[in-house]
Amino acid sequence: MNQCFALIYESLFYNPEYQYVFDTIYNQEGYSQLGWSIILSSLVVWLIFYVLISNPYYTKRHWGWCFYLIQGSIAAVICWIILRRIVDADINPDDETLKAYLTFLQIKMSIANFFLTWIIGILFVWILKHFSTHNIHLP
Amino acid sequence: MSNNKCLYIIGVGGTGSRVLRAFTLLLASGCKLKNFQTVIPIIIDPDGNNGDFVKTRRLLNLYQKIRSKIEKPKFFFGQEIQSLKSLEQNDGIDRFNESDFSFPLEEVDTQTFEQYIDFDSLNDRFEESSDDKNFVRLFFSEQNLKSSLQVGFKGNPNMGTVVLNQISHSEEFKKIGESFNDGDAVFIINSIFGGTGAAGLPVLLKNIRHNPKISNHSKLKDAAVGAITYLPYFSIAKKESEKEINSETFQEKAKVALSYYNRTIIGNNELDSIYFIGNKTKKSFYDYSVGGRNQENNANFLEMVGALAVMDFCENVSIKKNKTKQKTEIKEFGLSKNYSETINFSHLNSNNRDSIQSPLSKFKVFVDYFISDDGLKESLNVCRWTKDNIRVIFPGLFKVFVPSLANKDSSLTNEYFETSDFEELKNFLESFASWLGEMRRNEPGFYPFPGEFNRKNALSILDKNSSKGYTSLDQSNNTLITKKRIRTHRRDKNHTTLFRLFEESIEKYTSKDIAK
Repeated sequence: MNQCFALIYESLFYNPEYQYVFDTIYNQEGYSQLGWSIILSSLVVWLIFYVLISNPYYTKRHWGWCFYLIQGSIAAVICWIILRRIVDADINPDDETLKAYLTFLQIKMSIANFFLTWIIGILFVWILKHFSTHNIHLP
Repeated sequence: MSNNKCLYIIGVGGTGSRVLRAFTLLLASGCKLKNFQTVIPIIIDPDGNNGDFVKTRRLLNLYQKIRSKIEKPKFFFGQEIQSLKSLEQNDGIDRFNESDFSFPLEEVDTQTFEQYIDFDSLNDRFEESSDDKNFVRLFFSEQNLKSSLQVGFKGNPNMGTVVLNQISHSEEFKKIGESFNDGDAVFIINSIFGGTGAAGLPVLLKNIRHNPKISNHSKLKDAAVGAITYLPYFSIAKKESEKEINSETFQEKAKVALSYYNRTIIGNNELDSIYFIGNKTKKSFYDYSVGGRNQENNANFLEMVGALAVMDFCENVSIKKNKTKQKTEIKEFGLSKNYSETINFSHLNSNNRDSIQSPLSKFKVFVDYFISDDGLKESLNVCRWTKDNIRVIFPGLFKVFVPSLANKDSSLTNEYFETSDFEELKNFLESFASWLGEMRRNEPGFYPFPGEFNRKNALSILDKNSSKGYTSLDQSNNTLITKKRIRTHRRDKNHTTLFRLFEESIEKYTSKDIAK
């Protein structure tokens, strides 16, 4: 899985000048963690929305769309935390340029995770809505 | 003997119409008659524009229309109502008409009473001992003779008896005879203190029991026949300029008529049961009106009691069906305990309470949901049970492997709620709400749902320990809407889904105390 997710992230953000950073993330199974964070945050959010919540009035408040924002935000925060942990434990940057690059990379990957959850989310929505009682018509 | 037993309910005069109104609304709420599958209401009132009469005919017509659009009605609108006309239509096409419930009286629209009896053609030659005019004057005052029949008999049963005699050769009465079967029964509703009603009962009974010219007379003469006779239960506000109807005479008129009934109808055991309903204390005052559109009185609790009497008659009629002529059973209505301001379910005896508490409570929730601003208006196009935009992926695959997931669209969408059929239903529901409101404001006041209800606590009508509201009802509707038993494929029965859905949802939140 790590390799599979690495393919996605590195095709988006790989920079040969900082190969050490990407190797470290790869070796620490970071890509795998990032990938699963997308899948799980999306799955949990849409399970809650379609199966657990029984509010019959979500259409009115457009909360269906709010859940897309919620799942994206959760995935982005988790991504930030995972990368922070790897950076602090294994890369431990001391020069300012690397520090700035890593911070920028964290921001970029968190934003990417935010949008990647939307793609995964659409898949879960397609599947989970079929089992929903109250929100089958949403979004 | 036919399995479909019919109860012919004949409402005579304004009181007859008002009791039939209450009866229709109770049937709509889910009350059912024991031993009878079909109800055939007939209203006899020479005053065709009488507000109560018009209102009841409209309501009966709406009931028929609404019920015809429900596939196998279970609870609400469960009892079949037919008119004499619709009973004889066997072509499968529903044709409902308000006028089908009325018993047309001929020559009453334009004539005065003296024209009706052809008074001018009578002799007045007393020297030849043929002074018919003066003989007639012994029975009818000058005011009676000059009185227009268009607005009824204005509290004069002596006039009513003459005019209502045309029933014996009317087409409608023939139809009753032709359609009458073994096991069918007749119930007559009249008031004893008015004109039309007081005259109606003896005339009708005479024709039912003793008119051999009517088809199926052998069945009719031995049929179970019950009646409610209303003793004075309201007063009329005095109006100095109009003195044709005076409620101070009600009591006296009632006594005279009762004495006549006692000697004839009751004494000869013409009826199986007779119910007397009246009220001496805390009477309501109705606006003065001799008839016509202005005679539209607020619903009174005692009219609902009349509907309960019909139910009691139906429940007990089977016990006596095989026995020979019995003594007329005389019944009176009473409350099980005193009340202070308004009557509620707890004041009724257990039989009456069990008959109406559950249906009225359930129908009240149903009605409130659709006519209040925070029921349907909040959920329409929002809740899943009102949506038909539900798309499943690979519907073909679902159809094969998980058929229950193949079609989850609801038929109760905006499109349905904008139809004229739903508009009719809403009109009916509004009639129910105003009926309850009128009974609450009248004397004696009847309001069985103490407290104020809103969308947050509406279901406490069904369970006083519950604080649930329309959200719970909508949740339940969402769960049930896809169930096969709720849906129908018949386009001509477009109310089916709505009724099945709400009957089941409402039942879910009904406490055992009320549901029993």
